[in-house]
Amino acid sequence: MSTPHRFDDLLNDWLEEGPESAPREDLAAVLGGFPRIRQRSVFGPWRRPMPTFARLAVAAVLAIAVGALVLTQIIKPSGPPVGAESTPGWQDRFPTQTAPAFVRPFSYAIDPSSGIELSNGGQVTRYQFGIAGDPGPLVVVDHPAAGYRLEPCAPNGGAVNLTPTPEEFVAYMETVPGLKVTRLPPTTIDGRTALGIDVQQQSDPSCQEHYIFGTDEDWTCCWPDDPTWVRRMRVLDIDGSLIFVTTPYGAETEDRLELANAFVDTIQFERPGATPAASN
Amino acid sequence: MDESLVVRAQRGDRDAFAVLATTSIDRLYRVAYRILRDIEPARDATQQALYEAWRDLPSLREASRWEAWTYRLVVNACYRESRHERRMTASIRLLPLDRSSIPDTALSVADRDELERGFRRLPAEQRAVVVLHHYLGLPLTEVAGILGIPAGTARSRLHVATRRLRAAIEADAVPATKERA
Repeated sequence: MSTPHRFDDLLNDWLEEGPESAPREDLAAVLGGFPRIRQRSVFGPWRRPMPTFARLAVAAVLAIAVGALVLTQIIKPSGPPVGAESTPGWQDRFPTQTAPAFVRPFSYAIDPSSGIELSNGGQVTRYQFGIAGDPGPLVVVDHPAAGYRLEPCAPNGGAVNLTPTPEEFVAYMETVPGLKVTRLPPTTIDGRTALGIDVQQQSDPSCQEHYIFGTDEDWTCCWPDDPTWVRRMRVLDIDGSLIFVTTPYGAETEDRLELANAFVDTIQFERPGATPAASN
Repeated sequence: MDESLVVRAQRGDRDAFAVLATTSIDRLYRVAYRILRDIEPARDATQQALYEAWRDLPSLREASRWEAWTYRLVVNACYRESRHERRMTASIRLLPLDRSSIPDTALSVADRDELERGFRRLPAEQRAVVVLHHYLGLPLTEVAGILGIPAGTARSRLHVATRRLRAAIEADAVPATKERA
């Protein structure tokens, strides 16, 4: 029987064993490869603190610009001029953003006036979209999900179903202890049917640890979460991969849900045969 | 770590990032290997983390967080690699270690073997907490910050992982059988 102290020593000694240096060719590969990758830009001056007078100046300029725009809309004759093409929506006027390297990209048309931006660059199979300054994400896209665990309350979660269909996944979620799952009418994202569920997490003494599905960090361990928080999940199949488009929201943020829904409508999934983008 | 290098690299200075990559690759690889327990996935995770570091460096708000931030990137890369590993486990056999090159220390062959088996059975999220806490010696609050999880979650993951590893060690009286990873 090992004492706690001896066990920690054993563990520390065991962890010390192993290579100390990366192979030199790996460094050469990184040094040769990174210049071909474009750095992501940090959009917009609103990310940086501005002095009060500068904020007032910006607000004044914006107010004047908006006022002028409203005036021109009021003054100009109604209806499009003869021969003019229809006015493009913001999706047409602004270039789409493409998810970066390492995964097959999605593209997103982001309305700059909405303030939505790709908010975490550190993930590869997960994209979070949020509004600058907000504490939580508006929409999270997980790609690809790594299946779900067949025994979510058992140590290590049991075996994994790697290729569930959206219907299988939704049916599975309804069986997980501690989850309150409400089915929603199916919706369409980029022309594909997405099953919808609202998921709330509740404490369940019979299931202290959850190993539900394999995304990057969340929802794999250590619940319960705030039971008042709702995760609206849209579950769809893209070329055989399960994809989650999730909107976390609370009762006080219905307006965020509306904005999130509008954003979700702009998501486009790459068609088979398209060339993966190397950068955004 | 020279924070001015980080600031320069954030502005697109490739020479500055080359220095950062050169001075960071070994520490990231050491962590990746200890989480994944496999050389090739650890190499891939390390390179991915460094590519992402370059790509996303402008989003790093505090240059002083470079080290912790890159740990987070490499841990996330390890999560992805571990998923690939999980898909391949049906065709991968866990081979016994060649111990002839390992000096005989207080760590017995049986302990080492059981730790290896127990550790490989842990989900990557728990392995990461164990490595950051026990190998890097970081306090759990800092581990939680790196992983972007609540401190209670980090504590819980460490507790569960430790319990399982202790159980593996204490079960060493049971004859070991070679099994699939």
